[in-house]
Amino acid sequence: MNPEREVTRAVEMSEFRTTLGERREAGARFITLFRAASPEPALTAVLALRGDLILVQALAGAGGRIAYEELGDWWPAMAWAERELIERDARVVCEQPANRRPFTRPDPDLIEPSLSGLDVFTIPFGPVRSGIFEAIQFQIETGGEDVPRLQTRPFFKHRGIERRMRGLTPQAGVALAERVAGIASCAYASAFSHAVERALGIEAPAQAQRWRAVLCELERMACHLDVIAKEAETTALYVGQARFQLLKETVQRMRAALTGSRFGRGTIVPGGLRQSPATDMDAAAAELHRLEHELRRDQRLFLGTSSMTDRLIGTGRLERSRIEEYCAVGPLARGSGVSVDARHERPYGAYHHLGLRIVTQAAGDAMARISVRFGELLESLRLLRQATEQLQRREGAVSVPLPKRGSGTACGWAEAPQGELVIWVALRDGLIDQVHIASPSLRNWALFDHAFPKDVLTDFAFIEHSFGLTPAGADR
Amino acid sequence: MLEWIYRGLSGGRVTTRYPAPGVPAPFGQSHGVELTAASIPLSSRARMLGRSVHVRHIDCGSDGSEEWEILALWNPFYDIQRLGFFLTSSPRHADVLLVTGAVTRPMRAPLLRTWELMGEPKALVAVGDDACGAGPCAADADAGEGAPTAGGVSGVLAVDVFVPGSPPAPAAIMQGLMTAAGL
Repeated sequence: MNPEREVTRAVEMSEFRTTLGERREAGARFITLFRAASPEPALTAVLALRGDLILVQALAGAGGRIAYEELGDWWPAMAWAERELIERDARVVCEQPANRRPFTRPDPDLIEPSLSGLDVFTIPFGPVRSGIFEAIQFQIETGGEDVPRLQTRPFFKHRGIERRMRGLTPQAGVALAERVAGIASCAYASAFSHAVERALGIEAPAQAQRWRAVLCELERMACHLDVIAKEAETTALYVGQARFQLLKETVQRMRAALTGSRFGRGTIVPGGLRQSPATDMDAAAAELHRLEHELRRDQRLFLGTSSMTDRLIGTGRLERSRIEEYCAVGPLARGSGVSVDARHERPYGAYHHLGLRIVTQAAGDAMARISVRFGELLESLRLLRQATEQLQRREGAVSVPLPKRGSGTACGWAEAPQGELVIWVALRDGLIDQVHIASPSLRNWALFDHAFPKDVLTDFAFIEHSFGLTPAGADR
Repeated sequence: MLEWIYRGLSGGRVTTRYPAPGVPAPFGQSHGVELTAASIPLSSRARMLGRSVHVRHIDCGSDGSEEWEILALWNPFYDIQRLGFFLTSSPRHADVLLVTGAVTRPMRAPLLRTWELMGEPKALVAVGDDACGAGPCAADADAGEGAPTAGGVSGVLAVDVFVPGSPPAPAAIMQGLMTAAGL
């Protein structure tokens, strides 16, 4: 039996907003908004409500056109998704103010101040930044110390991946899914594979599901260690930075030993795994044991360094109500006391059988987000121990063949290190017809504009790293 | 902090040797690799200064993993600083520009501007399959004006060293930097 549920609700275009409003009142979380081309062209909003995924669909008019009324002011979580939809899809027509600048085609030299006054100036920070960072731009409006307003422009990296996937076989498409956000390759590959498997009505073998969980948890560890190392670097705690970089490199090398790729690529495919990661399980268990020992020591020393914690406590505080308004996910939401986790809400694959403990913190500041990551690192190690024991005890095939020329549509999901990831896939005659990726980074980044309630310009780097997002995931 | 330093000192060396023991360095003038026009003056200057090469990075639409691997060069395992490479935040101080990604449309102008600001001699290194023009995002899915990327760095600027891989391992990027600096 498959307890994963996905409910589709068809409505008239005129009832679209009312239906969303009812669900919002009931406590639903907004995930994404897109135009589904099949089975019928329809405006589709994906919501999560108490362990269900709800697809609210309004059929398009003649010629597949959709007359859309903007809802971003009413529900801020929808704002970025609907701007992306309106600007990138010519068939979605909206009466928008004529003077508005395109959000998804940013001009790095254009400064758009929203505050006026002699003593407020705007700093365009990015897309080329000092250090090794991905391309993103922040327009920081400041009087010198306080940051009364900040605008994030994440759309510098559009590579058209969703369009490139059209017409490929699922096995070829998964390689592109891995390259949406390279640091979360396994999560993207497993969410994409999950979607394809659900669309075709098959299930990957249990042994493959366990391997997927192992790869995804290792990936989560690498991402969290990276965030902590960057925070240490920002406070010039270079010994701590070196230690966490060492741990991260150890995880990367474990992944390379398992799969041949330092990012675990090329292993997870629709139907299971491409090949079983050949490895000496006893050696892996010993390595995990050593890693845990070192991690616990480094955590104690990191949290005992007051120059580090002083910088994080109270920085970039996000209220729980703000998190809920923007429907944020991942460690960002869990740091503000919202226990949202796709592994728990809608368990998939091996997470049905691995007892997951969700780590939350109530404070909502940068320290809380780092503490959540520390807790999740130890939790990942615990899950890895369980999964490797199960892998050792059991044997079996790691893949099932996909049905030939299969068709169907479905959502697939995974908890990426940045938060809940949902991928909608439509297959026709065995080929990919349409893919829509709802990445956690895009949803969480909208909150960055509100993360400076009492903070000053020098807190910028701390808050940015504590978010731990990737621009490549936000802009496909 | 003292415990950290003590553990660090007592834990032994983790840095990998470069080039690996027993393996001759595959690149460099003495090994017969022809240097590009840009690398020759860079090479003589780097040698004169006892190796002081400053590196700047720009992301033009990578998937984020290349950034991790470049950043790994400065971790204790690879520690490229011992070979004389430094990160710089200003393109005016940079000798080598590392470019990742297939060059998306909004990043074209910032890339050109960064390259112009760098003083001579300078070298450009394309890191990753997409930057080299071979990755999936460099393929021209929809040609012409509508294409989301320039199909690799070569579509915008002349590249001195290509470091392919998706993403290339830190050791490969290290070799790419050594080649670009003519060392």
